Amino acid sequence: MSPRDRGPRRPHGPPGQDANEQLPWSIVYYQAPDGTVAALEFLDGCPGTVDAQFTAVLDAVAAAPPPRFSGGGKWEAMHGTMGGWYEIRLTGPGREQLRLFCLLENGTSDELARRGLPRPAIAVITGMRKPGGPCSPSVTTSACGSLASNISRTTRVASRPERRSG
Amino acid sequence: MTSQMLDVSLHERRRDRRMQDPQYRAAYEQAARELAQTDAVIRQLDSLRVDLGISKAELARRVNRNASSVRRLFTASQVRPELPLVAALADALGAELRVVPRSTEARRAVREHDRTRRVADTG
Repeated sequence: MSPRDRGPRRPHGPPGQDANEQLPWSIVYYQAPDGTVAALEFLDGCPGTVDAQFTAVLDAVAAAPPPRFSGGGKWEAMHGTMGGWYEIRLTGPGREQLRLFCLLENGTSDELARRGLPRPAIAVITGMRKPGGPCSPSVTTSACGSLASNISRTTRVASRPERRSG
Repeated sequence: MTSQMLDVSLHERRRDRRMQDPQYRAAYEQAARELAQTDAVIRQLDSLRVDLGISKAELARRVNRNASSVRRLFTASQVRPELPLVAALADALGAELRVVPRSTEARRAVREHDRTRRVADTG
């Protein structure tokens, strides 16, 4: 299923259309049907300083969500076959390229309630890293596309990292 | 209709747990400061533009850029804003960019951080 098929999203709607647009957004992590949370596994595998930077960007964007400028230039709307996705782009130690891929869960209060969300959210889906060079667009599309095909209309949100890490 | 809201506190709980590591906390706070600076500059420029009643397309014309490049800049659709473009936009809006030294205490913290890092690198 394409991210564009996942129901209405209005990150660029007129301000004041819904009270939700004035509030900070939540940050949620996509949990696959088998229980794995690819984004958390990715972040846990990153150097601590990189994990901290990803977290800071997520917090900045959640505090001032689209269409406002936020994320310090490290949060970007993707285009082409990845339209509808957003990515956080960081360079780690040794010029390693790291990317965190996200979707926006937005809508009216009723629409969000149907998905079990108290307010709009940034859904963190997965991440990728590649030493010494840019992430290949084709690889990125493939990795996210396979996840997107598994994402149901109902948001699945990981909630207990302590269990996952033992 | 989902009758029960999902628990969306995982991110905060994970961040709070990781922040107990001083190195993680320092990296997070440094990143947050840097992000806030960039965000503030771009938002102030956009606010100035609105106050002056200038459309994004008109502003783009004034700095000899495509309208889409200015629109992308103000809506975070483009990463890493170019400093020359940002400076040109500020000039076109009758403003200027400045670097303001932080407080003495903040600069002392930077020097201490550098000293600690040099010791760690040589150790």
